[in-house]
Amino acid sequence: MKKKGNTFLMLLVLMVFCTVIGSASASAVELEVVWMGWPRDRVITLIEQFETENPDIKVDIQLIPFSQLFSTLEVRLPTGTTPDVYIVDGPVTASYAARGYLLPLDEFYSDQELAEWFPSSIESGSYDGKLYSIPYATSSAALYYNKELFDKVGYPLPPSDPDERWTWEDVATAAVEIQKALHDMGDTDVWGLLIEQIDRPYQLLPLAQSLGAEVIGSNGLEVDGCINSPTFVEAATFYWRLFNELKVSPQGVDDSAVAREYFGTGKAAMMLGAEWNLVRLSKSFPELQFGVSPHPYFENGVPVTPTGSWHVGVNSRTEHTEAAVRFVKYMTGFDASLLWHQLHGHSPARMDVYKALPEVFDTDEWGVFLYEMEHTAKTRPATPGYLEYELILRETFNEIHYGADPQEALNNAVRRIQREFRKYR
Amino acid sequence: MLYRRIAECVLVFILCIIALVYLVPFLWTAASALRPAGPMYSYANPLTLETFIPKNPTLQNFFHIFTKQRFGRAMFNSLFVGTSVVALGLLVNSMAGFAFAKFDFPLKNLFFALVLLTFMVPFESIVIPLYVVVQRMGISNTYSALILPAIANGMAIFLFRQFFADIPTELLEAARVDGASWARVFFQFLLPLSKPALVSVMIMLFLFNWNALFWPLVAVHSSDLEVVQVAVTTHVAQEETHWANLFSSAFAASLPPMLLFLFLQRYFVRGISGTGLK
Repeated sequence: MKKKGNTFLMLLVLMVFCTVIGSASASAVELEVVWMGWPRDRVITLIEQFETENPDIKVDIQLIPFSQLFSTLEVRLPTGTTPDVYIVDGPVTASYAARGYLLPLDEFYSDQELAEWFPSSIESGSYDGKLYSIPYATSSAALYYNKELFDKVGYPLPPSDPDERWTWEDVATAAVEIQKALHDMGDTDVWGLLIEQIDRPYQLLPLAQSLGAEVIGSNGLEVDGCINSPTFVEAATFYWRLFNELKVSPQGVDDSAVAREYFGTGKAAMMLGAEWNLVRLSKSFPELQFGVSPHPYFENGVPVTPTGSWHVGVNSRTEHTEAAVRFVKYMTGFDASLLWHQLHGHSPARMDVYKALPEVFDTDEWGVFLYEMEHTAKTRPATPGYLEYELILRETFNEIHYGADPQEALNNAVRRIQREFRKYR
Repeated sequence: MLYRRIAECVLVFILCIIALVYLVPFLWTAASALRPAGPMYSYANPLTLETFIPKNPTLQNFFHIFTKQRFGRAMFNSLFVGTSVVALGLLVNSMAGFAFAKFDFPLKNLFFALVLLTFMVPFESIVIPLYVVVQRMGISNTYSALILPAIANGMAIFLFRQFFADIPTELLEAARVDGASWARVFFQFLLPLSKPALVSVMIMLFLFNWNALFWPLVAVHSSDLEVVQVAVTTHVAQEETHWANLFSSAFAASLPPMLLFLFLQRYFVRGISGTGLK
């Protein structure tokens, strides 16, 4: 019994000791930052450079995996003054801003500075006429294709000229014919078409937008008549056919990295995917012969592509505004954007980085993505209810790809989203 | 007799299949952890013997996560938190269970119902108030933030109460008549009789903490305090997954609870079956 008492005391002392150590503060300003769970060694390279240039600021950065990032922020943002700076998914800016979690940053930026970013990125970081989050990267999507598989069955390669881009029906026909030909040759585990982010509105809204569907009402809080409109349902039905009728796309491949493994190891002839695959495919699958064709569209519609990515915002309750803004300016500045592209392969949201690296971006593949960013990109809807909107639509697309009736599933989604939006009205 | 034999064979066969279903993912994780870094899914499709037995096994992935990624530190943190929670949790919960089993006090049933309620409420619904409390106490971003909220556990109290309720009260009262204090009855008499319950709760509390992911992410932010499940997920980013690191860290992370369970499973089964839960 005595022994047990001693252990208990020792533990208590240890806990008090830990508390004291934890709360001891250093003389430099310590910024608490919440960041996406990108590989630590890459993120730390940027942080170390910032700390060398700003010896009066210490950065305590926490990397949170994508799957837990939003829920962790939901717990931490309403309480207390930290994190001082945090990573913001572009379309979620409105949600945080509407709830007062983000500091307006207009006064810290001149128009000239803002002109460096793509206008669509600045738009995505703004809410109610104010700028709340600064673009850290951007993105685009296009059709990747495996040259070897196309050649093997003698199918003509998809065009690289945006004016001759394939329609979705062209893609479906190609997927069916190539898959069938390969199966006849004995390659029975090859698929016609992969959708990299199988259930994400990011990847799927452009299908409906290509047919002219609105994805949200003009006030940002109305979805009835938008995501269940005839055009939206038509697009969703095409998506349903890929998995359930034509059976050219595998169900349940819902992870970007797994989709890339399929494509990279020659298990799929085409993949609708984001630009970040360029670097990763070349690095992880050096033997893969692939090309990039512009994003498909519907014949009676127009080409639309997704865009937008991560932004950086300052907590409205921070006690270190000056240091926080300095950190944001560094992370989204020219040097860090360029370095981050080299480290992680994200497409920069700043136009000056593209000009500075012609040897990287003057290729056919990047040419396709840059064309889309400039001409066909559409940002995701700005609504304070984006988190709920995205979650419910993801579940809906998941159901549809597993075989649920598109019209019914979307009507159901409308009911659920409208109910969630009520609290923002 | 023959029928019984056949029935037994069929049963064993079915059990083997079920065991295989559970083992295959684990074997695949182990095999992938021993494979040189690179594509992983090409080995899974089509399924061959090589899927489970790597051609050129290597320990380089483990070497990498322990020397370059500070996975050892995360293992230490989780072990430290887990051991502390187990030590304090056994004491607190067994005393609470004792009180519920052997004493009468006003509103006892109401309190017990509240205890039961605590393990029926999903953690996500209390995480915000819990975080506020931890922050006001000034212990966020310390080991205490991981240890203190995990000590009192409704399930553990319930298990102890059920176990103690079966021990005849007369026995304890006899000791009381002989002049022993309640504390002495509890520590010298009751606890030594309760090894199965102690071991069950020990394993339960340890596993519960070992597998915690969301609370550690919320409560501590310093990389020095990173726990093992957080360290495992750092290998999964939105755009890419480092398979070799992911599988080797997941495999390493599964070893301590597995060893603990293997050593103590004899008691664990007896403990659970004694509560009427099984």
